[in-house]
Amino acid sequence: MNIDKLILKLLNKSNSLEEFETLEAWKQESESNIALLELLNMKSDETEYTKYNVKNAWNKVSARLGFINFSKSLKWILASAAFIAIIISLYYFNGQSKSLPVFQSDEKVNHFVLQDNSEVWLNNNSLLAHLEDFEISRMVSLEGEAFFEIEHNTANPFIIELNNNEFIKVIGTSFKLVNDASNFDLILYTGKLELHALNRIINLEQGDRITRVNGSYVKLKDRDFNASSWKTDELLFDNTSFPDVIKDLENHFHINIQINDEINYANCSLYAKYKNQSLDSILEELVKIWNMKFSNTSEGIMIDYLSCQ
Amino acid sequence: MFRNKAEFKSVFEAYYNPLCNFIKRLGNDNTLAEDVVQDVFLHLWKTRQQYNQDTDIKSLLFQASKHKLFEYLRKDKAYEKHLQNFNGNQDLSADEDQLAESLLKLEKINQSLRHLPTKCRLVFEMHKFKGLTYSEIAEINNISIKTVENHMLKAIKILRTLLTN
Repeated sequence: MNIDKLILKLLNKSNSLEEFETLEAWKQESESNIALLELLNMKSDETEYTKYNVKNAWNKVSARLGFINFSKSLKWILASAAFIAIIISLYYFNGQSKSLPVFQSDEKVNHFVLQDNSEVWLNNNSLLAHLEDFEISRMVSLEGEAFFEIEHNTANPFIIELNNNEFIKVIGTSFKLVNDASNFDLILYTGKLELHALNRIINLEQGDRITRVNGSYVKLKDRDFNASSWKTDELLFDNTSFPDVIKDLENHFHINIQINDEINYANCSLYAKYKNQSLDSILEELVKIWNMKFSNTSEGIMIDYLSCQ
Repeated sequence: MFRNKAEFKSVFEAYYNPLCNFIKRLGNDNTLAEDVVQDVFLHLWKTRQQYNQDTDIKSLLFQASKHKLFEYLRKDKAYEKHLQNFNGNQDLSADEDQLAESLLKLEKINQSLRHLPTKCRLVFEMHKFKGLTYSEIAEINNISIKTVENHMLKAIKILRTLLTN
């Protein structure tokens, strides 16, 4: 007897007596079985539950508590560099210890100018923390996504600390980085940078893109035009396939787009450039180009129909 | 109580949503919930030395949140009207205790739902949380009732695997 079918019938109150007894017996087999049925049996007025943005909340709380991620290797490098140690001790003896700056963004993109005139655009729900006083070392950590334009300074390189004792070393350049527990994506727009990882150094040149797969770093050949669209507010599609267009729109406008299962989008692709345009106006154009029909749902947008030549 | 920040973070992640929902229902106000709960966690981290390893984190968090909400309501004139129907007792009442329990269960189910395929999750949520019938769901999504049933069956199968071992 398939237990899942019985549970489904239970939800619809359509079990036969015999089926009901089988289910009761299964229920008594373990505590977790009881818990599962209790959960599934909750009435809809009991299941009202708001999902808050936990990541965002954690960023706020950890910033207020002054938590910073300091990897062991970087600590060690710092500690072993005697002259830096002296500077630090002098700094503390002078009694000038102050808390290090933390920059964060909530729902919107935020732009910051750092002490060295480097500029940072933080995408939504991201956090950039200084790990050192900039005059000693330009060392930061990033949780989330940011676009950087770093001031040139050979004597004091800009260092972004990653997980697992890895870091990115920058002299002076512009690039985009996504870094959190599950994602890593680095695109270099101008200049050069070094990624120090797994006891080796990967050199990146202009236009290079690198991502992390199962813990190791992989250089990608294809360029993602819209990876920084949240900063430039410009979307570029060059014979882009329908699923990729939808993915870019979802990322750019922070919405959820559902696609009807029965849609055939085999011939649907897009050549277009949108600058500072609203979602509504872009959707309106897609309606014309693809004969698209869509509807608004509680989850976002549902694409109901497409017909491409 | 917390041996390190990682432990503190995992408690934060597990309880943040249930606590916010708890405060939202007690205070009848959505705007306060996040402030209250964040304050509770800030305070808890700062005073963590006071608690030992056996502290019942669950009770502590729900009680402290209730207490903090009470503090907020008392301070702000705008919330005076909520204060009247607020039971100022420090301990949780039987009802509040039950609410806490069911919110923790809802958190668990919501965590598990994230593992479902999108379509399947939407159908399950529409039926279970929004109370829509199969035929209503079929119509809204432009799919057959049989497909709705298949999505529901798949959802139950995955949830059963995730929630029972």
